[in-house]
Amino acid sequence: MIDIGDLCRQPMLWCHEGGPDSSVVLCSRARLARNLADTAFKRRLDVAAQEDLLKRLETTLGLIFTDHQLMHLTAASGSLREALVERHIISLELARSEDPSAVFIEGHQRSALMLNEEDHVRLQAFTPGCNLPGALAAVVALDQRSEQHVAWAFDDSLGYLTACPSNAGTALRLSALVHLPALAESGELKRAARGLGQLHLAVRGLFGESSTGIGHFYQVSNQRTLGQSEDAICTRVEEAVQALVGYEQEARKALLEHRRIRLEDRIQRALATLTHARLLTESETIELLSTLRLGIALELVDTPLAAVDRLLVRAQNGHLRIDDPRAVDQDYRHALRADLVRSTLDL
Amino acid sequence: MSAAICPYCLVRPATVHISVVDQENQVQAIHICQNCADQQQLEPTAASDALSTWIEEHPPQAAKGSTPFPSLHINLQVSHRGSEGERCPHCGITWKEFMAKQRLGCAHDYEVFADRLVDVLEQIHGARRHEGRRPDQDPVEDERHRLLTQLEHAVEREHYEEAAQLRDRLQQLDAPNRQGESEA
Repeated sequence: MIDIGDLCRQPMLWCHEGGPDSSVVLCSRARLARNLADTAFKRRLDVAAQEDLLKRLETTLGLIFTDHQLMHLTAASGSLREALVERHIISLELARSEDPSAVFIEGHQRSALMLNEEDHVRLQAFTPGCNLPGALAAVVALDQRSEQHVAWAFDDSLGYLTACPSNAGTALRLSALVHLPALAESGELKRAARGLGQLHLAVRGLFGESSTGIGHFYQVSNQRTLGQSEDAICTRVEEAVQALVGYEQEARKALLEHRRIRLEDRIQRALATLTHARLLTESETIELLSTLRLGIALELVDTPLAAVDRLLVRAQNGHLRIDDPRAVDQDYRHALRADLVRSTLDL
Repeated sequence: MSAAICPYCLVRPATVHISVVDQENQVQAIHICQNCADQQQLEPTAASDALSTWIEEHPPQAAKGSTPFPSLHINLQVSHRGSEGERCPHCGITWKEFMAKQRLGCAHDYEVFADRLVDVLEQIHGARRHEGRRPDQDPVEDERHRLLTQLEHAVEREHYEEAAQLRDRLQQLDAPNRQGESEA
């Protein structure tokens, strides 16, 4: 049985293993959607049939993925689900679902298998920094393990079959989680996002529900899954993300050159608020950590990047409620967050 | 969730949301506190009027004969072959139900509604045919191909340590074959 408290206290992969271009790309993620050939998709199954499906998947996949632990979500608390979303282990859709569901989680949280989300199984793998080929290789390895024992729904002409046609074919979604504060400040972000859209890549805010993105953290991912091989999709996304990294680095240099004193002032104010405030809201904290993260990348402060990235996850609402059930109260939670931030940054 | 912090002063909440239209007729959103908006002399009312005018001049247009697929933000042109009441014998879903919920009922639907779904797939993906991995693919060949692609990428980006590790993994993959050759 997984202890959710222990799981939430583990730093995210990219915090203890800095990957390529980690000042801009926090991590890379690859997801494959798979369905059993002989069973209807979730929306056509009643609760009893979904429970039966879940049991079958848990039994079969449990024998294959012995390095992953199973966590039932059906009766899980809102805080637990929220914490798993915050760690990118499950999707928001799965967290909000009232249907029977579960997730297999690898010991170091490098991979996870969601059961009974929109598709029967969603395999996902993470690598730190900008390393989409590595994430793809990891998720394909999971898929190969599963295919030795499970017949996934597949058509010779259309590829892997999914509940929504927008996922059919390779059923691959490759994403990079990126931090683009300088592009946003320079006003070039929307132009960059339009350019990515023309390449059929989607850009969404990572925190908050709007696409503007609190703290200028975004997820860049492919929209099309049919008509190209997995490697071709990977090349396309990787090249686009690399270009984005280049633009962001240039924009950061330009900020440092032309607006240094204003930038230093903002960064120091952010650091001062984070290290002295007694109450911090979630969105405020993410914005301030974003500014501090930029300061670290520009070597204007010497706070360790890992500490900031750890806080980006652990200071979120779900994690705080797991740490301390009293954090259900908003004021208590704001104070608890401020305490956590001060103690983490007080190095 | 509380309002975002004003990015100019980092102190007050960004309670003023202003939309401006740029030279390319694209709408940009600015979130700022009232104090900084006053200092920057930004006038929400004037900007909002510009936005309203732009929306009036550019109403969303649906192509003739198309059907909205809201979750994908596209209007699908679907040829009307077969009836909307045609039902999958396995899961019971009809085409009409699929278009309303944007989700299929089972894998067999791809065969039952083949003609219409191919149109849908073409419009979503710009393609009608799968070009990726298959379940019956040799996993060793699959892995070799993947490692080679990663090695090429690593060399291009001058990540030579990573490239060396990938080369070693490729050699390990090929090692059983080499042993077989030497014994023959």
